[in-house]
Amino acid sequence: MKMNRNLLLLAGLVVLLIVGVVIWRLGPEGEVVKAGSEQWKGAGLSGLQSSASVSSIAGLRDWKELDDPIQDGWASEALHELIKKKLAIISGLVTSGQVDRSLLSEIALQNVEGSVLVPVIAEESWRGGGIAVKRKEISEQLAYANLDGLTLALQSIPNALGGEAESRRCNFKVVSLKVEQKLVRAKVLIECARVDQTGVVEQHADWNTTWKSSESENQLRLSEVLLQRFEQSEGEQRLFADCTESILKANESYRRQLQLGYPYWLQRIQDTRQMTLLGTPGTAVGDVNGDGLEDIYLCQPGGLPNRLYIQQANGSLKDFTEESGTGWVESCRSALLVDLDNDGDQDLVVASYARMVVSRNDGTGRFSIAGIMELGIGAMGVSAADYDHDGDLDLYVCHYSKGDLDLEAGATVIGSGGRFVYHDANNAGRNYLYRNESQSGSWAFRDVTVEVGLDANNRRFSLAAGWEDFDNDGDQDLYVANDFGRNNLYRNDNGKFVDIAPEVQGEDRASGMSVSWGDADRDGVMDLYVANMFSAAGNRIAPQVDFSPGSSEETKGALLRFARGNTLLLQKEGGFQDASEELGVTMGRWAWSSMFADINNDGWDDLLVANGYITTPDTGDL
Amino acid sequence: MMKRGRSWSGRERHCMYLHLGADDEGKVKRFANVSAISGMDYPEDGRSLCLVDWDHDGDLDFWISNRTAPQLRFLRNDAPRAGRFLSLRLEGRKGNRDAIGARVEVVVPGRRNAIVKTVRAGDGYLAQSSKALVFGLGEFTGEVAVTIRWPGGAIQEVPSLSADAHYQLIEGSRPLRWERPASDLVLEPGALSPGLPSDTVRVPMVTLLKVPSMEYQEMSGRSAKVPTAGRFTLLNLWASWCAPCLSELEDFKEGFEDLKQAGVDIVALALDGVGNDTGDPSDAKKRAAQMALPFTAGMANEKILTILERLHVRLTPMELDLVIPLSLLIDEKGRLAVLYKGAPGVEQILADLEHSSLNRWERLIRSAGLGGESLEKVNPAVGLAADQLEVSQRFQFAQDMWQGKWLSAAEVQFRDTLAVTPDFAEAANNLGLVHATAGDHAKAVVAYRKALSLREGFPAGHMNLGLSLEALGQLPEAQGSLQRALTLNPALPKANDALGLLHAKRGELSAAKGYFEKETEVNPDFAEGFNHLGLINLSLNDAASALDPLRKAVALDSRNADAFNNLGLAYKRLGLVKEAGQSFQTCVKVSPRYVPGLINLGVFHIDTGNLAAAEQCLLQALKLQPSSQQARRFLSRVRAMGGQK
Repeated sequence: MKMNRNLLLLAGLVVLLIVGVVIWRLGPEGEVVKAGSEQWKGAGLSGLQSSASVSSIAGLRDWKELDDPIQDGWASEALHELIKKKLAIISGLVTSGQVDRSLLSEIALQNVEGSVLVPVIAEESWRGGGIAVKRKEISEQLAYANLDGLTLALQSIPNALGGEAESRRCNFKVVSLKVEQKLVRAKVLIECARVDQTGVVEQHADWNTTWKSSESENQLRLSEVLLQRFEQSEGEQRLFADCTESILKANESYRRQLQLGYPYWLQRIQDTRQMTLLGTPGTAVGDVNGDGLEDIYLCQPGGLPNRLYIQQANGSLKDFTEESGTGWVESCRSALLVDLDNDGDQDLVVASYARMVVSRNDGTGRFSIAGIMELGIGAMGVSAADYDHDGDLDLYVCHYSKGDLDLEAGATVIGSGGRFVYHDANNAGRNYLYRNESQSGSWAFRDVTVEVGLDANNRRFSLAAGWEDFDNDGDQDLYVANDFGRNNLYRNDNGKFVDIAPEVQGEDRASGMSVSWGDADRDGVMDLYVANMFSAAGNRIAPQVDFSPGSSEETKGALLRFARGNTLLLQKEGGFQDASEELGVTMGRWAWSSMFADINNDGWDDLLVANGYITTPDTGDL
Repeated sequence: MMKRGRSWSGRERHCMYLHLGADDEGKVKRFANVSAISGMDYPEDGRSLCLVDWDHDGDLDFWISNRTAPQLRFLRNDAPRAGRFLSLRLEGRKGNRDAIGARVEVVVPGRRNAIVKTVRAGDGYLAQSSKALVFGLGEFTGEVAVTIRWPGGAIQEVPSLSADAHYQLIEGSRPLRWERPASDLVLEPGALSPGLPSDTVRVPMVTLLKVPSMEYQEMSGRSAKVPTAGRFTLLNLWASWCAPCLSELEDFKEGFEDLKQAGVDIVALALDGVGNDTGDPSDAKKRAAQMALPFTAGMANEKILTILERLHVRLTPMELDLVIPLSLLIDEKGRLAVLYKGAPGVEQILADLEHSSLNRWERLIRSAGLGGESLEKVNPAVGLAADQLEVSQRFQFAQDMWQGKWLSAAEVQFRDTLAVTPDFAEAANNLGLVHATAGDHAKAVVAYRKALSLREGFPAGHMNLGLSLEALGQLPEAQGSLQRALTLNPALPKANDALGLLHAKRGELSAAKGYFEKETEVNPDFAEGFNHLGLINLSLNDAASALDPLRKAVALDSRNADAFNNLGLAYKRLGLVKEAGQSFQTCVKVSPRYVPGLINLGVFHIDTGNLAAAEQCLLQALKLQPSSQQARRFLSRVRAMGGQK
């Protein structure tokens, strides 16, 4: 009975109409024979204005440009839809392991030309830690000119992957499109993998494909495919194993809170702030009870309590939220576990969306609030360092917001100072540096943003910051990742900061989401890995002639750059070199935390990327 | 798009890039994409990532937090045949205790360059990794030299530390081996238990919005209103075809007495045939009669659905569709206390009666029913921040009511918005707008002046004030306000138009013309601006110049009867009788109740000898506006002409 009711509940969806904007029209009374002054009566209301009609969040409108390109009329996107369907069939054939020539004949021309799609590679590029990498970076030559050739070339993919159909997967993404009369040229990103008990094989390749339109207008057939770059890696086993269940299963909050994601909670809570919708489950690791074992604190949206879990001797976690007094229900974004008063225990910093809360640890993981500091609207990441070498930790908080009121909730733009420019936005709230001025027992933090020079270029949409002594002069410098434009690198000159990002080519003009410092080339100076968005749709659309027709080439270039993905900046002789494409690390998809981490302990930092923007049961992905 | 619940760059797999070392010149090789091999490539909406050697085996495991479930995932590093390690926990003494900022160099014999790492607090995205540093030593198994530059600058050299060991190092002291307290670890890979969702959606409100008064028809056909003041109302939406709704109504029937005694009236409104429901209202009536509901049953209507839909959109983060069964618990002060999608059960409703009497922070704690504590309770300043969310929710709902032309509801909502934030100029302005729309310009002026006292440089406020002053006949003041608006924003839409109208009314036609011209320049999509420019040219007896703007006006707005009428007049002046007739005809077609159009069409028919049609038009005009002298005059002319015949 109960189940039945639930089913019907979903079936009983009622779509309601939204009332449209009412336009006030009480025009002048038309005069019949002779026009005269009396006809202007009653015209007054026609000009009535509400502030809502004058101000809208331009930023959201600009996002929508990438929203649904087919609707927006990009011809290339309509073509992409056609090609996407055909590629889906090819990837299905490859996954199944039975590349069927007759099915292929509906996709490709009889005289389709192409190269091998899995090249013969005699020598491994790399082997270690149970992983072998083979790669070929030179484009292949045409090797056949018929369907049989293509069938064999495609069949070589599952053959190389091995395993059964169920253990294989294949994903094709079109990352650029060029239309030339009756030809469409598409660059396709190939990702195929086989994962089973015997190990993992994965292929990453770029194909240049050409599609010919036939007489009937909506028909495109593959006429050429050329392999541009190929990499196949084999691993004897997966590097990471998911042990979440064994660690968390004993806690009620595990299944009642953590195992229900934002899509579930956002139907039940009222935190309508924009960043909350995007998801801000900030986490901090630190030992809060001094037993030498690391614990974890998790931030949650408004209405859900933050959680503190304490590590037990056996490695599992115990929910300590209630005892700790830190299960705050206000909308929270990020946290730090650091010793703010140098008494040997880990205190807690939490950036709620408009306030920063510092809490004193009594040494056992029980906290009392020691200060609540004002922030702007839309606080995001926090990071700590002793910027002035006075022996205690100071706190820097990023902000991502559009103005003074709660514009995250999309009300109106007030005081946002001019139009929002997608690729160079500089009209957000400020980031703050709070200096730790605590004296024995009494805690005090003071906003020193302006006096230390950090208010320069400080109206960007900042998501994350990372402290590092990038110039090896002994003090902590600061890199700030900004969405919609350039990042900041503030050099610390004896406690005063200067933004030198442009001078050292450290701007990385894109959609900065995270900061990770590390010495990627082991030259003794720190390099940077910055998360951005890799957008297949953006890559396809931005170069089109009808994209953003009023914009300059420079603007278009900037917009295309936005879709490139993550950035690796190597520091060389006082400046940064963008090595992202050369080193093959741009494709982080819609990336958030993107970190240097030496996973196999070979002394070289690998890269880990957490990504994914909004997943719902619907799949409308571009 | 995302608010509507659509996926966007969703189901993306996390990535891992493997560092393949450097060539002989020290140049880093291209990384290898080992995302699938890594096993971390879950297609979840990943956010923060915290690196930590959780199991004390000398390699980096990590916690990842997700937007989607699981919100936390732990991934243990099982990399086969990984290199040796050195793990260091630093503790500052002269500098900060956590040694944040300490730079550590590990020199591995036989390797060209040192490995360099820094202790940090907060990097990546919304993440803080462990402060313990793990150095990968590759194949090296001997002793390594370590140099620490502590925050503050002190340099400490440690000549030899063993590989594959964990050390604790206090600033200025000798390093000590550190081992995790002995215990068997329980970590093991395994599938995750699913979450435990509730089968109804219950939204206990943090912001308590007054529910606008909504009129409905009882099943008997009598009109009634919700909510009723002084008692709780449980407003329920159902349909005869919705089985869970009917089952819920049976539950309400059973719990009717309990609810009544607790002060709750039930109003169950059926949706059959309302909005885009294709059902038949009579089915609902029959069903209600069959069930012999002891409480009020009636029919919903589109206005009610729209109001509920707007409440839902403004008070919940996702702009999802409403579903039935849907219930709203409205408190005795007429405020929405709890919204239920699905059937919550009578007991839950009774338990929720106290919800709206709680403090905001208590209501927030109850949002998810997971407990927790409130910062606002500790510090009222946090409440101020919460106010801002409340204000924007109230303000947006007020806008919705205004746009729906529900003026009294809009007035209430704008007033409530101002009660939370008295210095919100936009809300004061919009309250004025509501008064003006209702025709109460005196009240409107008070509200606009309030708005401008809060923010003088508010162009729309000055303009609105000007319009209301004009309506009150205070023309010089009105002109001043409009001009101030234009000074603040020369491109303010409709401001030039308003000034033009003001001058036109006074008979200052050439001045008016200048403003209309300006309006069409700065606001080229505004049909009325062109209409007015055409009309002023007509008034200046320059029918030729009127033609273009009027054509533009009807091109921009093909429903603008007035512009068609004026266009007809212009054609007529120019002797283009046929075109004039067509324009008047379109005018009447677009707006059959537009009297000037009817009269002009009548006159056209007189001119072209079609007296029967003329009579029909003029009679219709007189019917709509019995006082029209012109209609009467032309009608008698028609009759006279008919008599002559």
